[in-house]
Amino acid sequence: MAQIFALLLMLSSLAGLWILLTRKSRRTRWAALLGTFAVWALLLVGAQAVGVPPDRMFSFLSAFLIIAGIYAVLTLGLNIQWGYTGLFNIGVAGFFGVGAYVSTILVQDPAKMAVGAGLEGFFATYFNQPFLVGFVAAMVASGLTALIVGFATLRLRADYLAIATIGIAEILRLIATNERGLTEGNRGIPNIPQPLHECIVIPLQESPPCRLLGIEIPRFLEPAQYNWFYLVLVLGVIFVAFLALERIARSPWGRSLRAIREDEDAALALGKNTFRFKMQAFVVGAVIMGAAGSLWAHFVKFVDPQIFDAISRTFLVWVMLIVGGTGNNRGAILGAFIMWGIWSGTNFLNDVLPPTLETPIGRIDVAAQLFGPLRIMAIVIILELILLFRPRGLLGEERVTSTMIEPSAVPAKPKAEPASD
Amino acid sequence: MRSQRVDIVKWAIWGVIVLGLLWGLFFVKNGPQFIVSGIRFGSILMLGAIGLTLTYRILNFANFSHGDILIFGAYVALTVDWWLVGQLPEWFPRLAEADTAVRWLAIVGAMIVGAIGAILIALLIDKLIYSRLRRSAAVVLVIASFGMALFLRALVQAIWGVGNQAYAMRTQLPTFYAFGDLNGDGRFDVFVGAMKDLLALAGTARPEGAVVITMTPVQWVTLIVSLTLVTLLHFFLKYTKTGKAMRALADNMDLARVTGINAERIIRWTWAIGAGLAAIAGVFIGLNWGIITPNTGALVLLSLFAAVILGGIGSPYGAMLGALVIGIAQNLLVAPAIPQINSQYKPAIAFAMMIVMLLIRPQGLLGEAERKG
Repeated sequence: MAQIFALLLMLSSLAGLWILLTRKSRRTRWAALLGTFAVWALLLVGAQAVGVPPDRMFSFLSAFLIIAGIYAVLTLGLNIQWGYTGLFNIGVAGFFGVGAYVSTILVQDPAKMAVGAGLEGFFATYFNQPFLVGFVAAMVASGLTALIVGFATLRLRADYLAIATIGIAEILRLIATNERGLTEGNRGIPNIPQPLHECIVIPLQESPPCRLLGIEIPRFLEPAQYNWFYLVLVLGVIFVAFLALERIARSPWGRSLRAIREDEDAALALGKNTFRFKMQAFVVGAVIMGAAGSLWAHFVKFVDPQIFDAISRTFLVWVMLIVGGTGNNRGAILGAFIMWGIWSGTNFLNDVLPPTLETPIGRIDVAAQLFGPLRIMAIVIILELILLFRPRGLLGEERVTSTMIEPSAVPAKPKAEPASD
Repeated sequence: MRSQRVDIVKWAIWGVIVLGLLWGLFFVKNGPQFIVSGIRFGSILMLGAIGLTLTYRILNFANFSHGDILIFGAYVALTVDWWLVGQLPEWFPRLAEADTAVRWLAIVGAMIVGAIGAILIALLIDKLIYSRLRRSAAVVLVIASFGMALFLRALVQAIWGVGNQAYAMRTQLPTFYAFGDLNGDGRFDVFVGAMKDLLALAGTARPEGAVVITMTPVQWVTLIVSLTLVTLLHFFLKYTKTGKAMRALADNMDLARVTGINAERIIRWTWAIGAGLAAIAGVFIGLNWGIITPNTGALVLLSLFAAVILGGIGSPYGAMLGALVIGIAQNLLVAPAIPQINSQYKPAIAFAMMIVMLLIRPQGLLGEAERKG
């Protein structure tokens, strides 16, 4: 029963987001936002009526929105690389993971590592800095990684960048696994502090309050409500990244990127330093991915080498971008929420499917062996179908990218162009 | 002016390779052993790299699913191997006593079936997806191949599970080959012995300056079969009509079509050669490393790409050379040869060499690359 309500919550959020991102009229968007809240309230009341505790629904909803939001940040980062500039980065996981690890190592409090018997013998050094330091450092580290990869490959054919990025993700995974003095290896780093958690969440034991410029910060959140604060943080990052990228798309710089994507030789012939433009776009995208990594680490409070997983960190992000609409920032956000909905929604199938199957070739453990691979295959098939039948994705690329032209002044379909122009 | 500078870079790279070999031979403890192991791994990488470079040259895209075709073939071979080990003594009662012979026969059969399985899956993927995208931009093909790589890996995980698996082949005693002044009488000796003799020799009695190399039968077979296959491929490309057509297609597809070459047929040959050799490489990897997992293919793919780029992408001979260099470097530059570097970093060594090569000479040692910007 709880699953059904959770699915409905997810669907209503997606529907609200769809309207919010696709409709131009301000009134429709406000209506969508308020309507979504109203549906959530109704669902929570309904859930309570049939005996599902609303706390559980709330924590499900906030976790869903936060993770989908972090994926949206990642997808925005990929959009400037692939959607705008045509840079084929299939090492998204690498930049994401660098952000997560750098932020974790800087922010982690050494005292928090010793969590129980047998776990005291940790190897690494931690710096116990505020979240903001870790967040910025994550972006810088990810950008530097991109700089190295870019210098080696951005002058060459697109395939080289693909090879180098998939390579850097794999190498970073090897480093995270083997350099136990830096990353704790496969054991992972637990108990990562969350931004402002001690300052705004009501603690179990009395402790001195945080002060900002001498003013005491009031504690106003129950521990279970902290995720809502984090959601605001994630939405803020999405919003800033989105506004920045939209501004970029409408700037001469953004139009140069598109020119490079469409025909690099022509852009070169027009005197554009294509290498420099590509490098800038690549680094900006990587910086955004690093920010997403930092947000991820501080939300799940745990990081281990699995963070470099090529399927859930690279391939899924690609599918999100292609589904939403390559080259369209709204599409990137929408695609991230929809695909994360499908990806996490299929987890419910695990409750429905039988745990084991008796087959002629032996017993198959469905949950452990079959489910994960089948889900990946299904996602690949979705991708191939979209590539074949709707390559522009759900929203497609915006045709007008100049602030000087009113979008309404341009006919919607290219066919009508000769008549009006 | 420019070409002259590039030539200097090329000779500098050759110089570094030769110096590295000399350093490995004379200044690394047990260096010759690591170089021989390196040649062995290099010859396995060759088998995989050739397919990668041929598809790059003829179909004009970097095939990211190559590593997973390799591991698919290796897993097909794994199933056939264990099945044959069970079945062979039943079919031929005379073999029931000869366990080792059964295991050798099984692995030979498994290798052939695995290669056929890999060829079939490669042709099927080509038919279903790549053939529809022949005239698309290379990047679309790369997306498709990346998707197929994950699809194949998921398929392998679904069928065979995610754990470590091993072939039925048993570890056999290695043979020692010792060279040098073994008795300390000032004369050069050559010594071939089985394990126990060598332990005595290697333990305390072996004087300074002697070189000892150990090779198990499986390792010998790996080296010989790989190098033989590569030689056969050389003759195939050089002297048969199909091989010549393949090279023509690689040089200029449109021109080759005009002369009446059936491009689709040659493309099928390319996939067959690439996938078949990759599957055999996969089996050898399983035999030499002891285990395979579904992720092995993705890890090997990095070394394969490094080999291909080092030699010059698109050039089969470059891929062979690059594979040898990568194989030797991977064995010389990690523990136990250099104790400070974890031997898990073998793919990282290959990757670092690839990045350096891309920075100083992107066209590789024997190839050409398009350069922009």
